Amino acid sequence: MRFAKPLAKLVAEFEKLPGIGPKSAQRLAFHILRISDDQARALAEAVLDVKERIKTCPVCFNFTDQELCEICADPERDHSLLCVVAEPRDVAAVEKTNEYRGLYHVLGGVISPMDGIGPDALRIQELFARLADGTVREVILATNPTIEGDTTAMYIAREIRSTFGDNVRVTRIAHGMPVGSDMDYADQATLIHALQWRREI
Amino acid sequence: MQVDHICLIHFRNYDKLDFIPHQRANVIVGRNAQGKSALLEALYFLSTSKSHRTNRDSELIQLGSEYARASANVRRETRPDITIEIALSRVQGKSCLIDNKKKNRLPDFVGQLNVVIFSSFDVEMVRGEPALRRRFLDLELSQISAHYLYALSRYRRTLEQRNRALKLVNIGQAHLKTLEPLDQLLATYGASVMVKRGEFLAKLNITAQEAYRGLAAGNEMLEVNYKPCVPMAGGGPEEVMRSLLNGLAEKRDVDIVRGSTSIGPHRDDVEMRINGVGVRDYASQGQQRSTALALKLAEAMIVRESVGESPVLLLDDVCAELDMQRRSGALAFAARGFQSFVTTTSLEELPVGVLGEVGVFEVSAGAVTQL
Repeated sequence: MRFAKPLAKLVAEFEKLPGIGPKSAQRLAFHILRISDDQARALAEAVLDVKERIKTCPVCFNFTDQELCEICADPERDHSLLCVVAEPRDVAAVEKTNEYRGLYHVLGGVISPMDGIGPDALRIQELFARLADGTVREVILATNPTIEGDTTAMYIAREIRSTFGDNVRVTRIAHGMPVGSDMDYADQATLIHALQWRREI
Repeated sequence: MQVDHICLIHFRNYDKLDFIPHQRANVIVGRNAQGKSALLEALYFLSTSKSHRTNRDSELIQLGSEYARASANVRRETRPDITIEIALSRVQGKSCLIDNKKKNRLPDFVGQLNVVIFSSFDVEMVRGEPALRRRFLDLELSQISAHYLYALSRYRRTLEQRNRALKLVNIGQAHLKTLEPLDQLLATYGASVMVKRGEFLAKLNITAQEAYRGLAAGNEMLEVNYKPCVPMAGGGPEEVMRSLLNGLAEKRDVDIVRGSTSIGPHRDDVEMRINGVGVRDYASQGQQRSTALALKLAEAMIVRESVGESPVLLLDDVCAELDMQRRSGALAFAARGFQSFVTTTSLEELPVGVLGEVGVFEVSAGAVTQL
């Protein structure tokens, strides 16, 4: 059976979303048909609103609806500490901890030659521009422990050392055992990593 | 470990099989195309979730059937006994079960039943391209060492990225600096892979030598040597990593032009010699086959040592190209505490007496009967 045109269009739009296959797209479309007009309008407006009002912060490139994002604008935060992450969602992950009080820098991806992404496609030049005035004393490289994340971290670390020498400390977030979990439940890759990155206590 | 019950449904040419093998040696006799190899294949499949003969699981399903099922009861010495099962469906694919519980992650399934198989495909490992020998190393080491599997998969991923980066540098779309972290990662993981290969081959050399002596009594001496892509000097991870980094730096210009990495464990080889002469190029067919067999028997010893119990030995058509002395050498090895499955087209060809306690079964058109 073919859907009526407007319905078919909605299904097709849903299917373009990540993680949504044909079945889920249909289910979502039928759900939209069932909800009230107000609910539907609220959804549509939220979609348009987010596209209109969310921009990237010109300093850290996190998403924001302000001129400067809340974190960059906050004088209470430690402006000498910079956490470099791949994506805005990583900022959200670190922020949830409520522990980190420094600033962020969002690269907008990781180096992956296979996907045609080199250092120039990322916001690495912008990172160096931020480091130039000497306020930042430490850069924490918090990309994922994948080949691409490690490549990116190593690339940036080398560049910072060759440009700023000992003036900026460069660190990499620790990888290994999840906190509060049992050794025998950790998968082997995690355990191997944890053993490799072991440290003196 | 022992398999004490095998059930097959719509597997290859078996419509339905309920087979209780002998605890020690099983001689499977039958004419061609009756299902001898398929029986061994089923055990290999239950062990690894893959066939050693084909990459397409659907070939394992009997013609005209929609699904196939293979299961076995495994009695183990150091771990609890288990029932291991794989269900194959043309529509739904493959599910692997242990004690009726579905295992979604391969590492939870593979390695529960340990088998070592020798078949005509293994001779290619001796006379074929280096890639086949690396594949042998990777397969064996992945079973024994989780660290190896981890380092190897990271190495492969880094290699893909580096090769791509080389091509981009060559056409001016990437800066040379992009290669530096990739070289570092490649050397780090490459060194882990090479150190493990070196250790494994040193051990394999000793056990394979012994196994070969058991096959070709007399004055033939087998050597198995690692031929690493760069000199390994002291052999520690640090030294090998530096050696790889030097090699990568030296070949960088060539690599950029070629768009591929010419140094690294993906270019390793294993050299086999009998009395100092290369097996790949100069040995007779019988010697090549004996060499492959010796490597497999050595593998069985190494698995026994690392798992702590004997794997099940699967010898497919061990008579082919081997003289009577070598055949009885192979069977004598199997009699050293392994449960074994040995196929042959004729009982006269096989010195069955060497096996000691033995069950002899005839396979005919997908049915197994005890003789």
